[in-house]
Amino acid sequence: MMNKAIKKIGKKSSRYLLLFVLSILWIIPIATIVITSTKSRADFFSGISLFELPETIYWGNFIEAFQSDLLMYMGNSFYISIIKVPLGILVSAMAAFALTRLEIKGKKLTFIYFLIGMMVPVQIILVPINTFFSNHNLIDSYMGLIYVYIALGLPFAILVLRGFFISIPKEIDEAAYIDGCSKLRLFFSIILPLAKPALASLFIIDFLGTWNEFLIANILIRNNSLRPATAGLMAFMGEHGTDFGLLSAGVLFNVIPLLIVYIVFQRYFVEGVAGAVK
Amino acid sequence: MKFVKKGIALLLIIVVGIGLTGCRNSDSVNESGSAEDEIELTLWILNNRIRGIEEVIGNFEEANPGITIDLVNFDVDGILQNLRISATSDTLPDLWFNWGGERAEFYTRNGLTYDLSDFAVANNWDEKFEESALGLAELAGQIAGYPIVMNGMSIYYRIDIFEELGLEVPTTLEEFEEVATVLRDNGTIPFAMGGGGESHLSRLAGFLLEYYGGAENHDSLQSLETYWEDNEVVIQALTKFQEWDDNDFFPEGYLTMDGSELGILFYTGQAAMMIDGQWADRTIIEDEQDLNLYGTFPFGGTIRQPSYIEMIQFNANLSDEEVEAAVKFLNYLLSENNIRAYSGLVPSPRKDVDYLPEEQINVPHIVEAMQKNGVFLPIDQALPATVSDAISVTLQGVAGGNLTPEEGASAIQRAIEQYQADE
Amino acid sequence: MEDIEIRNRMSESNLIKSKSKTKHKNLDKCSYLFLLPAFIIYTTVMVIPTIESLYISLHSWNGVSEKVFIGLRNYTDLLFNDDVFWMALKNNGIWIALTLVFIVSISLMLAMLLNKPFRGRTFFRGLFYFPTILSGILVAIVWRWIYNPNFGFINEFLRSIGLESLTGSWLADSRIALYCVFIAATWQGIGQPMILFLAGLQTIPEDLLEAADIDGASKVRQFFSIKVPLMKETFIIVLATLIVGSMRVYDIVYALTSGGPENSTQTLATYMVQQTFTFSNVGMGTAVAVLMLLMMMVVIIPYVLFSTREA
Repeated sequence: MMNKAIKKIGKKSSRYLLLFVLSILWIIPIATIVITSTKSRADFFSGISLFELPETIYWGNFIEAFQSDLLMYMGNSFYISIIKVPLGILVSAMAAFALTRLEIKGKKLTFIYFLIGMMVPVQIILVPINTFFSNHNLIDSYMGLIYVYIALGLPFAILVLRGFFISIPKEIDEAAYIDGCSKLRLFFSIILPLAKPALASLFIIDFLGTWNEFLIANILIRNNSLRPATAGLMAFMGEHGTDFGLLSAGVLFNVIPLLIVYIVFQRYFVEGVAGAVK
Repeated sequence: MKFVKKGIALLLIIVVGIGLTGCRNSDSVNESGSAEDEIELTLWILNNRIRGIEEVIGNFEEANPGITIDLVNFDVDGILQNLRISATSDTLPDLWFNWGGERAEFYTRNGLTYDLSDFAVANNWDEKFEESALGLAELAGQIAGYPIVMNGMSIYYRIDIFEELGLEVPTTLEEFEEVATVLRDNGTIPFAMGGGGESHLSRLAGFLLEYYGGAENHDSLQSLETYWEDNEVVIQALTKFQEWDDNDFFPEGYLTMDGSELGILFYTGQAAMMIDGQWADRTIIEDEQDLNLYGTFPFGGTIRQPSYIEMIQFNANLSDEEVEAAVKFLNYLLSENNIRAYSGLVPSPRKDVDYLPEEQINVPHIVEAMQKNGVFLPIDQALPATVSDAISVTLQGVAGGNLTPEEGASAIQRAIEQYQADE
Repeated sequence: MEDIEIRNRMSESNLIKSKSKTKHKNLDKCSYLFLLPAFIIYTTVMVIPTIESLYISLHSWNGVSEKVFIGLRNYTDLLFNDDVFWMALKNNGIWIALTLVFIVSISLMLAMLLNKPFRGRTFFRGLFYFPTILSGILVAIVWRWIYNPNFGFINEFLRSIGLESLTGSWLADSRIALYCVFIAATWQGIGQPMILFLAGLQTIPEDLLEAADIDGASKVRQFFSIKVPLMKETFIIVLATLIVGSMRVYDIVYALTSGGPENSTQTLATYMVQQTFTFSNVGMGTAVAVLMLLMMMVVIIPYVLFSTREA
């Protein structure tokens, strides 16, 4: 009995030890950013180590970042993401649903068709998109941007959701149809709730990806007040000199909403499928 | 059931959202050719390049009803990429910022810019601008843009470190090497150089080519008239560069260092010298460093110094009225008053503006060296991108010991031939 | 428990299967509607430009002037005449191998460590995902500072514990620069596969593991015999995404080394962008992109097709 208990404690503490070591490694760059954000420009170049806090913490970076247009840029990012992500997931889920649970011809072929999109280097679509948008007055249009974002996110989302939908037993569909469920109802009331862990991780990944997207946004959005956070942060970087303290503070601000989304949605990883099958 | 409700709520949000996006759009979409005499010009510039430009635009528009300037800001990579993409999709803005040399020439050569040559003659631009500036603005046989600043590069050094070690400002190459040796032996990095992103490597190469070849040979090499392969001047320059790398004149790991890292080394006194342009005075002040600790000297004493202009290029599709309006605006933007009050973009290439900010103590020296010694165009501005890249890669190879100077010269030659074949 | 219920349902449904099949065949057209929005959006944005690119890759073009048709010359130049292309390809190959070994194992391990509830689990889950949330610009800047041989953390640390001899120039050393970039990329990217694995672990019913425990199966045996097979779909997703990501890696490489020194850290993506935007060699840049796409298709499509269950 004692042996087993010791073994268990040993296992647990080796677990914690491993986690601890990895955490230290992982935290170092984060600590650098946080510490840098507390330094004024003079502090930063005063020769102190990157890991040393300045004598007096300079809150000016946070104040300046707060008072700058950064919040406006972040608001734009939020707006874009909060529309794009649910919409994109909806469209993808519908497609994945069709590809796994409905009677359709050429399911595998269609799936491959979508999958290829994940492999296309995004630079390929830059010029055609720019041409189309410019000629149709869609530059600076959030709708256009969201449309492109949805297209870009479809392959990955379909891949993920298809994988999860496949794991759900077909018998559930049969049972639902017998009970008189329509396809739509089956989709919304049964299949989607079962895929919660997948939806949650997809939400996180997609929200984050949309918020931090830079390349397409930089080309399609030119009006300064419409720019998302990524472009806004670039504005902190000058051609010849950058205020790293300010940039760090700005990045930390930018991270907060994303961290919140992550923490809120990651608890959906706790729910297993076991209970839902019932 | 709950999920269906959620689904419907979601759809409502989306519909409302899209409706709202529609509203947001209408204000910001560029409407070209609206009212009768309205001239609307879109201008693309770099972030923070021309300080206070929004205010100046506001003042200008007030004094000139009928002309509106729409400003769009970009970072360096952003403007380069967006210009290319817009060029391909035929959606270039009315006016855009560009660096002179190869970068601007691309647009002129491909017929995308308005040929300002006639306008320049009609408006006496030869009296308006410094000869060197106007000369640099002439690309592919046309006046390719309105010069807005004349940049000059020099060697910045730490006055306090030099004083501490009893060093005199070098006026020849040999003195430069002596100074570097003393610095190195006393634990300071002599020369802060970076190969990553910064064009430092090719700038140093330019200096060495000028030193060993003199004006004529250097120009002839850069115009690709002379072969680089087996060329005395080239090989001497590469050999000297390799020598300096072997002598630890450069920071460890400099081949991929960028401006932020070099800045840290220079400001904290870990390095004592650096190639930089006259804009560095402004940067040093903004970085809250004491400019009195920093001085400049021309590399090689009396040889020509690197210089290049930045300009505003005009879209080839502009009407004559639009060109007039644009020039009017630029004349105003870069008038002495506005430079003094806002942008600080100096030194001006205009003859009627000789303002230099008082606190930027090194700029007058750099300008003086440019005027006394003459100027040449830096490699990254002067040569086609493929060749310029080949030179950087060659320098990296020579530094890394993978190429001899002779092999390096041959490698560059190959890139040149490739370029000429493709044309 | 639930198994019995399902089995009951199954026998019921078998009897009625023929009936329901006829019912649903009529609604087939409706099924395509589920697919329609995705199809339209995807085709207009992704497919048409890609086909355009195929066309462009057969030309020599600087982006503005006339396109000159040169057939497959871009491709032959790349494959038979271009050292940098092969260097880039080699680097991507190395990157894929490193990814499959390190990123898969580390993220899986983290997912398993952070699966069961314990105090502070949310904090750790947040910590390892945090780098993924950070803006790429700053990630690169910070890692430059860490790697800087003069004042960076790594060399400083080595010096302080007396291991001066192990210091190096890291990003400037053409032999190891790619690996240094990879480490930074791992730090940044471990979060995504980790949460995918976490989601996948949730699909494993608790009772199965409990039953295995009771039967006396070791944790390792449980891992390989139960967890991995049940997470098959998750593995497919993670591996496909990682391989594609390894082929397309751009931002972190460009920001840390710009492909240098001496093109030793060029990847297919950095080379493609350089050709297209810096060298104005749009035809060739597009050809690189097409080759990238073909290579990925050759690997990913068979992999996904053969390993995924029939839908």
